[in-house]
Amino acid sequence: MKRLMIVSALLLSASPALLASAPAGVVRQSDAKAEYDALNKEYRAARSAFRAELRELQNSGDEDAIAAAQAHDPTGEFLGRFVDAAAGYAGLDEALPFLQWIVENGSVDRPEDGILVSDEAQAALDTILRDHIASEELGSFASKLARMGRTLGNERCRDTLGTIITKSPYMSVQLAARFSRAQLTMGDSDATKAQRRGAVKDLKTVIAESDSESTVARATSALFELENLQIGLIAPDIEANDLDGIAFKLSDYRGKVVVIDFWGDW
Amino acid sequence: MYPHERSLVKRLQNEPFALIGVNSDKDLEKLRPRMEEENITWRSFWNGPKGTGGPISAQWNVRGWPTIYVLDKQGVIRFKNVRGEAMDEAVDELLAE
Repeated sequence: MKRLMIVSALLLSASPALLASAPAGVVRQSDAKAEYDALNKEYRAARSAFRAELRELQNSGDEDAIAAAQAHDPTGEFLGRFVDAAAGYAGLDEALPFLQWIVENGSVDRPEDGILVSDEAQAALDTILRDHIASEELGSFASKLARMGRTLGNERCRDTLGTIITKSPYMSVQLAARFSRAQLTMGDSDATKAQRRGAVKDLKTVIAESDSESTVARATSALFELENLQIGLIAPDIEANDLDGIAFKLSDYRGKVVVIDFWGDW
Repeated sequence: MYPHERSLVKRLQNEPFALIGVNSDKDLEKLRPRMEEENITWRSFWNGPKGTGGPISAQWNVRGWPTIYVLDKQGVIRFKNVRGEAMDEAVDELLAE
């Protein structure tokens, strides 16, 4: 509690915006979480209103109006608000959700222009690695990086995960980052052979070290894919019943070109 | 998906080609009338009562549906996740080998 009091006193002097929301001079973790949830909820509502507006205009086919409406995207405004909020908790782990939001949402996904990372997103990423590398909360961010290659770029994601693996003091965070790095590489058609070998090693480490049964199961499946389901390898056989209950094998179709289609009627 | 797959199966009915499904519907009784309706004639493995959590998709690490693999006549994986025209071209290329 003593530490919290000192920290909050610092915050209060640093962030006028926080004065209004900080009760009795103590910043509790739950206050930061409530602030984050409220801001994120507001963003999601604004964003969905924006998308609805775009959809409506697209139905109308009015190109000029569509182009004009693109400027109504609320992301830029919220980016500023998240940056301010993160600054209010600077140096504290309470800043982490805000910083993660900035990295996730502050990157512009426009493949035709190449990958654009906003200055805010890059700064947030640098801050996470500088100030929050020792946080136990970093695991969920590490997991998300597996799916952020499209906006941040695969190399930047891989480098970030490499830093987390090397520097995090928590085994759980390191393992989340290893799994994430392997998934990123598996989805990266430009990954080098060495990176693919690295992914095998990462998954084996996760399988050996993780105490979560479901994580081990997912990593085992991913390792199977990496080792057996690559282009150029003979497909593993499937032996199971068809929809009428009659057993058959994939290898029954050797000699034919086969399309395997994992499907469902939904 | 269905119309494209139907036309692919029909176009290649006299070629050494097979479309093999791995179906992840939990309830086959609900699926049967849908297969009639959509004229789904190709053979499928059943992924079992756990649906998308079934053993085949788990082993093959399938996380998105549909997931596509294209094998050549020797059973070698040659393409992954090709859709639409790209799937047709992949199959035609392998049939010509």
